[in-house]
Amino acid sequence: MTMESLLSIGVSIGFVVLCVLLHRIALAAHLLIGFGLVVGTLYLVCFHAPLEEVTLGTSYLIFYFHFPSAISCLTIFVIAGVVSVLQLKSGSLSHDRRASSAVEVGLLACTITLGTGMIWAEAAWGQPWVWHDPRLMTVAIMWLTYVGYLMFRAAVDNPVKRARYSAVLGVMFSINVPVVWFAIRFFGKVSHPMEIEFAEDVRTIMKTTQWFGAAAFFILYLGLWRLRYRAQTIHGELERIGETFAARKI
Amino acid sequence: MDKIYWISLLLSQAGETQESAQEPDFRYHVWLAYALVLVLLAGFTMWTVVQVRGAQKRMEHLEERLNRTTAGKSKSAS
Repeated sequence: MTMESLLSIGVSIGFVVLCVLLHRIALAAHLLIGFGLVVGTLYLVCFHAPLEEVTLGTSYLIFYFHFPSAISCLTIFVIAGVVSVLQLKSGSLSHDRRASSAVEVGLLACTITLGTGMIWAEAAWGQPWVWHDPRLMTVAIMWLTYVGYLMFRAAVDNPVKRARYSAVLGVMFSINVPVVWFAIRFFGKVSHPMEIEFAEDVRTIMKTTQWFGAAAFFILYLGLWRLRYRAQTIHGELERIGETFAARKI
Repeated sequence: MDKIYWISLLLSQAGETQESAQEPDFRYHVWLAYALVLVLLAGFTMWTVVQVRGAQKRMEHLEERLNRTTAGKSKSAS
């Protein structure tokens, strides 16, 4: 095992521990740290990463905001799938709220990925969308399925039924995540690249900026997940009080 | 050769630098993408915060009403 891979494993473990620790601090502080790190990414892009990419011109700078949202959205949808499995096992409504709030935040990240991707495609390919590109189409399908998930939740009133059916959908839809990840390997490259190759002399700076951005956005999305969970918990309480009112005929 | 950072290129006028004269100008796309990300993130956060505050207020109001009604009923029963 090389020194570089050992370092990557160490950093990954450290990052997971950091994310767990962040869940123990106050939500407002978590969100402030998240937004601060995103601004830090912007600072790195502005004053740290040199302009060396020649093939795509300056349009490649969109990558520093496109990639973090893409990787976060896939991770968050996997988390939603895992929590949905837990919900099916336990029947807990708090797991249902966790899964659905993860889907909401994942959908935000997916929308940002699609939006920045389309702007970048307009610059790099001359058109915002390529219909036969496997990566683009699988992400679009993923976006639509999760919009359907939220529409389904809004349509079902019974909280127990809503939780169970949503969990089934959450598990089903998370199967699409590996399809998105391996789309280019499965179906071949059309327009979307597998990854961006940086010149050797600036590779370290650019990779550092790229992965710092990914960590920053992920920490912010975790904070937003907590915020959405709080909103859904209060909403659940409101539903419960409403039922009490109805039962007592107030 | 001095390293070029994108901030100087993005803030410069079109055609002012040698690089922007040689390559197509994508500054509009970069600004648009970054603005979109920040607006969506800030908008989503603000929307949820407003929603949480509203729901908290409504819950407090309903709990108070529930307590008042319960107290009123127990008084009339005694």
